[in-house]
Amino acid sequence: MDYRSALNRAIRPSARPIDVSRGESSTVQTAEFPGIAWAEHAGQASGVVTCEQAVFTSAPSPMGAGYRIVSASPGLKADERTEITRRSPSHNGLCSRQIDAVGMMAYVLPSGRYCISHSHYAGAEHTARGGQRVYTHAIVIDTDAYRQAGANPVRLHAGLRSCTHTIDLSRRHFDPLATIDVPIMRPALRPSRLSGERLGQFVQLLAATMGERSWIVVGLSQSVSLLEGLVDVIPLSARAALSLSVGVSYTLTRQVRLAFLEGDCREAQRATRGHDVRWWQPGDGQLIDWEDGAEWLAVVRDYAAAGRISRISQIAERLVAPTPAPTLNRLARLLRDLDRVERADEQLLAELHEKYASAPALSTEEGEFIAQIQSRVAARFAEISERNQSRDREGAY
Amino acid sequence: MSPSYAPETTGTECLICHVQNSQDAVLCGNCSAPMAIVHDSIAQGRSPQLVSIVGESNVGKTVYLGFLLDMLAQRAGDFEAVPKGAYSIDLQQTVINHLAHRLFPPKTPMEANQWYWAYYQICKRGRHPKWIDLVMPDMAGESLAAEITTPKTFRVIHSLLTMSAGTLLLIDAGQAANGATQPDFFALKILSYIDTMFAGKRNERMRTPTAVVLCKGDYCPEVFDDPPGFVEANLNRLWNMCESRFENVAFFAASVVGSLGYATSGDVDDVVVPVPLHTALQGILEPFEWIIDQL
Repeated sequence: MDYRSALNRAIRPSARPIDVSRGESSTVQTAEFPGIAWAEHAGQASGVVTCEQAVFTSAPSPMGAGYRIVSASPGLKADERTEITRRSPSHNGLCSRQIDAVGMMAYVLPSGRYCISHSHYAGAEHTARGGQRVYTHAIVIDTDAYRQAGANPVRLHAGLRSCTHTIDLSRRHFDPLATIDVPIMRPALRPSRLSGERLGQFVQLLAATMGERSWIVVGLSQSVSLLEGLVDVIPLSARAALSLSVGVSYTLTRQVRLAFLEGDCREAQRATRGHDVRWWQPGDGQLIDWEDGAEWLAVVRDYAAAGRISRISQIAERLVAPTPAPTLNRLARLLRDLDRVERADEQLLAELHEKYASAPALSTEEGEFIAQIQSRVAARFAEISERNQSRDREGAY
Repeated sequence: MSPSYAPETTGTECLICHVQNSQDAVLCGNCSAPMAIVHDSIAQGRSPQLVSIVGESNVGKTVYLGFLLDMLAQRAGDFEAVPKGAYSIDLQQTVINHLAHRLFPPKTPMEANQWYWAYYQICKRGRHPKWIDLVMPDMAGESLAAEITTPKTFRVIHSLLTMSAGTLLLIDAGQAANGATQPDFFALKILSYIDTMFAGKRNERMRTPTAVVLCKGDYCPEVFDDPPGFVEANLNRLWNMCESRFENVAFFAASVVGSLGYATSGDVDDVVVPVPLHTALQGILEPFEWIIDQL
């Protein structure tokens, strides 16, 4: 009603809020959701990625009221707007009811572009009905730019968190937004090697991500900080289709493959009952199977335990074409053999030489591994031969 | 790595979207409708009819439906109503309890798994009593708006409106009386959506009973004097659309709140909270009664 609007205006604080549609910017100081242990990023960003953006929240305007995309950059396509509308959390849609709660979503859009969103509560809705208004800032990235930026939605979300802004929802008129430059954060500070429970969680989460099923992970503080490093070891091709949510209430229609929940999960339990969605809580003793890629998983586990996970990340980053589990297993075997070369005696080198002398390569990556093994075997033979000759010469004197 | 909520080949078919779900499913994996409706309808041995309550966000769908169900449960207007399942009572309980505490109920989220659904067996006592099974979901206004703007954004809404045996279209009479065009445009959009959905020929008019309910009559009491006249004068686009395309339409006025106060909260800045001081129900049952007579 008019007089209600008048009353609202009358008590509104006089300080002029930030209006990003006019090019102003600000960083929203969202306290971290107590349950989520986000990874820490140190140092300067390595660059920026230019993204389309949209704001999904509830605010009145001449074109309507309630939750919708209230403002977006002109490059956002119609089907992308539809998908963001369908997936974004609405009223009270975060796991926690604390006012400083935040949530994250990442998913691929029908256009093939990738969407990453950051949600937080933004006070009461203009109608003053119960519950907290959710404000979602979504960015949409082209496929190539996504890959060039590292194709890690968790790291890109960290960049988004550092530059997200809130438009003034009291204005009742929202100009289109411009594109946004999101900083590309450097990889999070991680322990040089994983062990014990953390290593187990890492491998289990990787199995959940790589398998066919959808998973709900309960216990954010235990697992979200692993997520960024986890994404780094997923083949690049699979990362382009990754869908996950953190701290956002669960609903089947959001269609996320990996959902991190915290707090009261009864509604999610009700929604998933009778559906092919599995639950996993770190430490609950349940093992996540990914039998198809068991050899690849074993190699990742060994490398993570040895503090060499960056080697796996380098390989994963090069897997641009779809990489099914058998291919990953073959790469795992090649990687193991490449490691064996370094500590092989003459007999084992001879065996590896014979094995890879005419081994067929089913992909470019396999071909490169085989070439590396052949080259290293030859180098190791030469080293051993030289060492033997040297020893013989020393013996002759 | 697309999500896999693969529907099972044998199981229970959702009443709303007709996708197969496992016997254990509580909600449909496709549209989030409660599977209890299916189980209850199987137990009754007859298919329920669906009455949709549609309207813009904040028009008062939840409050209207909550009070309607409560009145039916209290045998108002010679009606006898039997809720099928505890879930059918949640909405009226929420609405009545909130209003009893002088609060409006919380906003309905867009997530369909959090909507209230009511499944009632209803009979109007008289010379020829006839029992009707009715399913009435409390949809979020934003989901409706998104669906009518971009069809198939929320398939559950498309399915619900397709299946509806009757529609209650709620409009904010207070806004319309103030000269706001938004209620008129929203109503026009939703009727246009329904009209397009059934894709009738140019000379065929929609026969599904549609009750246009002018809500929040406490803001403009004159609406009760002549609801059709109010629509023709203040919601002329809607009036013309009804005349052109809807054969079975009637106009009603309704009000729930007797008097309203406004409060500022010490905790929440920038918001004036409307406080329903008491309820004075007017015109809640009449649109529903008209729909039932048409079925």
